[in-house]
Amino acid sequence: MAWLRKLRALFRRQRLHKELDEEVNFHLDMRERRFVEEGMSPEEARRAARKHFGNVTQVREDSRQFWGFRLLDELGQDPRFAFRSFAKNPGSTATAVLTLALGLGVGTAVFSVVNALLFKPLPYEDPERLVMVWSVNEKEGVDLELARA
Amino acid sequence: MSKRDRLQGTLDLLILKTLTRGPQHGFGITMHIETVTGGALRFQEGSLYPALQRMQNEGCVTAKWKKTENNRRARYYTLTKVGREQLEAERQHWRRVAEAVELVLEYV
Repeated sequence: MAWLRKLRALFRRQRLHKELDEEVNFHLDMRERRFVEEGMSPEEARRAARKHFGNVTQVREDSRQFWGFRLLDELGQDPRFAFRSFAKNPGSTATAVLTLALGLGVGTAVFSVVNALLFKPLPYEDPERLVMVWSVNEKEGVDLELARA
Repeated sequence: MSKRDRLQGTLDLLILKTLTRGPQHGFGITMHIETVTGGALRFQEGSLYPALQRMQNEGCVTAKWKKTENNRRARYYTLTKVGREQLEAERQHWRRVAEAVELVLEYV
């Protein structure tokens, strides 16, 4: 129940903010009206309503803490911090990126070759049935001849 | 115990009890408490709203936007079954605390 509300809150943060503001404004308006009916001047009533309500910003913040997965919020802070650090040290960022790129590139290149030559079966039907056939010329030494079986 | 803790427990109790009379918006809850106590119980009205958000998470109340008699949009809170049970627990807790304080006060 609570987690479902929080998950929804994650996607509807904007709307929740607006609703809370509307709710707070409704309260302040009603309070103000009540004070005017009791004989206060509009200006007095406005101030008194705010005083009775307390710190509006604080109330907003205290209410919001129940909306978010705090974990997810903080998870988002880590990459943000990382990117800020990158921007601050472009030199070391470039070095790190180049090293990674080079390493990955070389690794990929070597693997492509090795894969094609050593790992993949030969591009023929039933490659395990391939055999090599030699013919031997006794007089001249070994003469090599490859045949497909 | 901080002032905040003391207030929070009491405020929950007051909100839950007020909502047994039917769905009500935050300002309505404030008005009810003020009327019944003759204004003797002062609390920062804003503290109602974080409490109501928390109580929604706890499943004690549900919220719905409705029109007031004056044709304004307001968020009305309704007590749930969980909320009623919570009220009973809070009420008993409050009684125990009040009795304990009374014991100390009456001790000669």
